[in-house]
Amino acid sequence: MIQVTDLTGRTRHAPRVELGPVSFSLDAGGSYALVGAPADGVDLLLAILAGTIAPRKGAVSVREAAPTPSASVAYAPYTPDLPAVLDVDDFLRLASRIRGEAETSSPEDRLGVLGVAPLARRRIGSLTFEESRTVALVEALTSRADLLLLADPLVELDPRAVSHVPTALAARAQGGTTLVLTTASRHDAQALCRDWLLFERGKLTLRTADDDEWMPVPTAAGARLFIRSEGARYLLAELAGDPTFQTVQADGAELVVTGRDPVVMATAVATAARRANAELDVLRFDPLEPGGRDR
Amino acid sequence: MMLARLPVLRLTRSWSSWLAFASAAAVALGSAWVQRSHAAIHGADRALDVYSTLVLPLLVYAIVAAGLGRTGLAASGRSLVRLGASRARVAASTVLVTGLASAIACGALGALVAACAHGEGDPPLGEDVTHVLAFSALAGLAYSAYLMVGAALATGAWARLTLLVVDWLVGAGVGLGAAFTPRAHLRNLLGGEPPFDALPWESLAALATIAVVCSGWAVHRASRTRV
Repeated sequence: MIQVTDLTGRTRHAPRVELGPVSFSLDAGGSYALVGAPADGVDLLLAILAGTIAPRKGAVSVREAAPTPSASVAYAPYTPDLPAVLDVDDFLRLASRIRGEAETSSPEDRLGVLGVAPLARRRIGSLTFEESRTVALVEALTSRADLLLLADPLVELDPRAVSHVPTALAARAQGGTTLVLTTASRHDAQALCRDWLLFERGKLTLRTADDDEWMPVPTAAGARLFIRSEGARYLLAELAGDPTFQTVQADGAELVVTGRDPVVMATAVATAARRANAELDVLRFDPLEPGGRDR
Repeated sequence: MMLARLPVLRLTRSWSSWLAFASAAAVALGSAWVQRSHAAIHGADRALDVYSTLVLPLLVYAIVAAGLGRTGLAASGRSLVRLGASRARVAASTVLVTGLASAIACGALGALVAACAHGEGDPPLGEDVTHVLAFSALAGLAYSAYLMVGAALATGAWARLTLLVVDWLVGAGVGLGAAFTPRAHLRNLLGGEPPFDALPWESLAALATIAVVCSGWAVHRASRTRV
């Protein structure tokens, strides 16, 4: 569904954020977390995928076409851009009409998906930042768009909405919608998405495997991580002294490390790879069973 | 129609647009009342001079700013474009709504000024009021489109302000440059000096042309701007 090749980008205004070059592809129906802080370029990447910012170089396609805002893409940026003069229920009705969707549920019901039905009669201009973000998220989650691009969907929301978001996202993912979200939290990424891509300083440093393997949830026993890298020798030197890992073994160009928390391990590997100037080619996690044996 | 809802609500729910109209009405009608109280023979001419030179352009400027939500033309429709609405249709509805609002406000206020300040030396009241209503409405439409060019060029107010200053400075003359400004043609229609020796019907056509060309260019430009 999404194909990105040697993409670079830059924000138009301060704070200046540089992205890329990055290359990856995302399949239709998947759920993907772009993990990183805004300064790592994840929000910029999301805006490029939404077609609101043009890439500087490289190619990006969404459904084999240049990305552009459309009714089948719901984009909720970190800073919501809602028409301040409309009431919330007016806005949701207008959004449905622009997207060409039949109004099968009332604005109150739609807001109820995130537990914020009382916001229906409020003027958007009177909402707090958190409430505005929640309304924008409701619009995206309850639309019929088959691609959701969501910036930090668990952050700075109306407190009533936070606990409802994972359920709503899971329902959309089960319905075949493609989810692409940004988050600075590795744990949120694991909880919300099947697949995730880790960005640091504008570069894609890690992603879960392409062969439908995905990060297991942390277990008490920990996990085993397989890494293939041309710079395995240098990477081994970096990883050997890191207390994150219980064991570190090298076999030619492949490294096998074990540790307790796969998310912490992945982050440590990415950091070590950057220090060792080593490219990471393949990554796979296997959960360890209690007692340290393989599953 | 649904895309026009946003600029309509921006205009009707914004206190600043009502304040601008009230201020414009106070200045224009105050000027008309002064002429009437002095029983000026050409009272309407004098009051309309103040109205066309000062009040009408500033009133349209305020209406355009309110209709855009105090940003650029492309950015004003960003929230709708991100939902999948066509950039060109969103921009066109904003241009249309602010143009109509400017025409109605300017036409009505111009007619009131002409009626209030009417003097013995002015044309017959009914004819004068009708003409001023039509000319002011057309000028309002043209000014709105003219300022939309600035709004399509930049999100800040500086581009619109620059165009307004250009209109004031260049439009005050009677040379070729003045023929490209709404001010000079409105002055000609209200009995003042013509720009580039233009006949009244030519000024009517020029105002209509400014309205159409500037609107079209502004919509075209906004439709090509990423938001």
